[in-house]
Amino acid sequence: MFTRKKINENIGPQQSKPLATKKVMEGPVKGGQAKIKRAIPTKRAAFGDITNATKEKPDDLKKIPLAVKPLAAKPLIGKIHPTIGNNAKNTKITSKTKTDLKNKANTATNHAADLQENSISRSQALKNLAAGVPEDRVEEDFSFVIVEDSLEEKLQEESDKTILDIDQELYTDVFNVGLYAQDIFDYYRRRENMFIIPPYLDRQSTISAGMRAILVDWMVEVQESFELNHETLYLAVKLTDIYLSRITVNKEMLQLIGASAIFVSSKFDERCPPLIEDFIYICDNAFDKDEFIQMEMELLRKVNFDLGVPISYRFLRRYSKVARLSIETLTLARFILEMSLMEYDLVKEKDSKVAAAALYIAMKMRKEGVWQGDLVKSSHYKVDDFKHLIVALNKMLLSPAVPQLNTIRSKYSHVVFHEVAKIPLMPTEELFNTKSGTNDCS
Amino acid sequence: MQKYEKLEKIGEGTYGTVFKAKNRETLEIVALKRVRLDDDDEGVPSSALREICLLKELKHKNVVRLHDVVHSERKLTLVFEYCDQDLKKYFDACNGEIDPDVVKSFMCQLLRGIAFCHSNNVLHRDLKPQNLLINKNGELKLGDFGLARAFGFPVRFYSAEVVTLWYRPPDVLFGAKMYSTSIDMWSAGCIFAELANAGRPLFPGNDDDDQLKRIFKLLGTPTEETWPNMALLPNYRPFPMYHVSTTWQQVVPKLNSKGRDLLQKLLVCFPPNRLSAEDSLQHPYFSDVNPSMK
Repeated sequence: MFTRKKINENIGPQQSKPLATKKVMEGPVKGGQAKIKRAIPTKRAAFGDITNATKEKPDDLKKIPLAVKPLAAKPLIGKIHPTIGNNAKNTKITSKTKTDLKNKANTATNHAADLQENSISRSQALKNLAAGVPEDRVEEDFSFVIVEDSLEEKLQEESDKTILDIDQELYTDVFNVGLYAQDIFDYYRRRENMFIIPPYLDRQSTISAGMRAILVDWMVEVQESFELNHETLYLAVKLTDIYLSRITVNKEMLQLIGASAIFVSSKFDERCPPLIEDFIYICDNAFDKDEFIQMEMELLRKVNFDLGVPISYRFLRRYSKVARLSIETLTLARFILEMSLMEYDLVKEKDSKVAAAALYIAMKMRKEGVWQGDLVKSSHYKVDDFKHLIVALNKMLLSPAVPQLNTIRSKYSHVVFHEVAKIPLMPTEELFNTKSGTNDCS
Repeated sequence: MQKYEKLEKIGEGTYGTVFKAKNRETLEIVALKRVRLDDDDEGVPSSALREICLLKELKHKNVVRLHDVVHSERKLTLVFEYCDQDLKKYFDACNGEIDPDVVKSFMCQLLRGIAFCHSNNVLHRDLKPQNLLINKNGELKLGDFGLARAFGFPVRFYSAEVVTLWYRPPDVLFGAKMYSTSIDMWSAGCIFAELANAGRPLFPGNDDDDQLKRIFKLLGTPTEETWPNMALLPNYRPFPMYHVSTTWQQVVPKLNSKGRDLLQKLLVCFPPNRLSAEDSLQHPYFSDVNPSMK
């Protein structure tokens, strides 16, 4: 259920009020563009739970995310007040104590990014931007990254240069572009090496894994409400992570970064991207237009204008096509994969592998298909290559780190999504059980 | 922008003015495309954003090279490699005569550029002589990616308001929003004929209807057999049943028979039957082209 919220405010739940539908219809949405689909907000879990669990200093908590507000500006749902809400369930959230950035900086060995140590507070960052960054500095920031394929990879790909059956069938299929499909996915696989994201939370003094999860949960709501493509959501989360891995930010900036990432991704991929006004509205005026425009440019510069990031969602669709799986199994895998977006621990993993693991679990749960043959050929992975991710993803499903973040779960409980979130989970050991007739061929 | 000395205005791109300029340090001549960022606007225009992102990925000798992006307060400047002219200007200067080998070379380079874009997940969606740049060495490069986009698998609905009218395929003229690489191949066919005729456009229509009429008069009006489900397209309307009355030899008299065969395979109304860039390069028309060039 979509709620409009300002991530930086501290609001009590008692102010909650149902949303007037009329207001929503009149929202700042240009005709035919972003549509705010569902208007009636439901209560969300109190974010105080989360902030409590992080056991940070209480006065920090007031500023920490996340007040949740429904679409009409007045009513407020959820809150972040640390004293409200039960906190018993949430002890799993990783607590990120403040760390000396300099000590931790060397953990980052990113290929592409000149990891910058500049800690930019919101106001400072925006002021810098508003003042106009010196041109020569911008030019330095803009450096092309050349993908260098490892020889090994090249050889491997050449040896696999056979056209898969599915691509042969769809060779001239306008919609599936069989002719180029494997080429393009092999290109994605080489390219994803440019975007490996190093662990970054130890360099971020004010952001925790829990806060990141809340942000992603909110981004999923925005995606639903604006009816954006899933590719847009995945790209936006990716851009947010890339940005956070390069810049130390203040937690007050988090929502602006996430919203700007959706804004930028929409421009890249959507036919009718939502307008800035729409974003200001869903952030409940926490930011103004100038701040959005400045953040957009800041984000584009820090990600080096590289928006062609291979995303797990595309790999998933590809694998499922190759394996000719049912829409239910694909949808279940999409649910699992979307859940994985909230997991900070998976940020460092390759998208092509996380997608493989999500699909593997879905195939097991639905007893459909086996990870072998063309699946191995097109993904270049055997089960052993992503076994650890199967374990991690299944653990995430069995015991979510932040159970009250259930936007994705409720989304996939809907009939439109074949209610796949209601399918009983499997114990991890059974996923590797080869007896059930769906043995893996790793 | 002290780094560059503006020399002259070259033209207008999809979203900004293009200048010829000189790098003060290296003396290298470049093309600058200026994008204004207005206050009341939506930030970086999506056409500029896509052009930058896509061109950053596309490094190929038949795709114009984006050297740099410079951001200053109210504008964004894209720094491109400079090409002396575009194919349109080349036509204007050729006096109705283009050597068949030059036609073949340009066509081969066009197809290589397209094949590279397609296998890197990009549709150009605005191929036309004005957007094909030519440098002193006779190298042809795809330029102006302002309408380009990355495509997904399977493709989704995209905008039907793409490609300049004369180079727009019949499916898009009928409002098709599901299209993929074949959209560029139709344009490539039109450009091929224009090259062979030294700059005379093949289908210079005045509006959508006139455009479709011209196409169907040359190729014959498609039927349910030659184009299954044509009538389901959003803006489909019936056209008179034109029958083919001109031969390809009349259409492109200076093109040899292999070239005519390739042209016919590109100008196919039913999108799945249109030859791909990759397969076009394997066509016998190019059999005497050095394989390393393909």
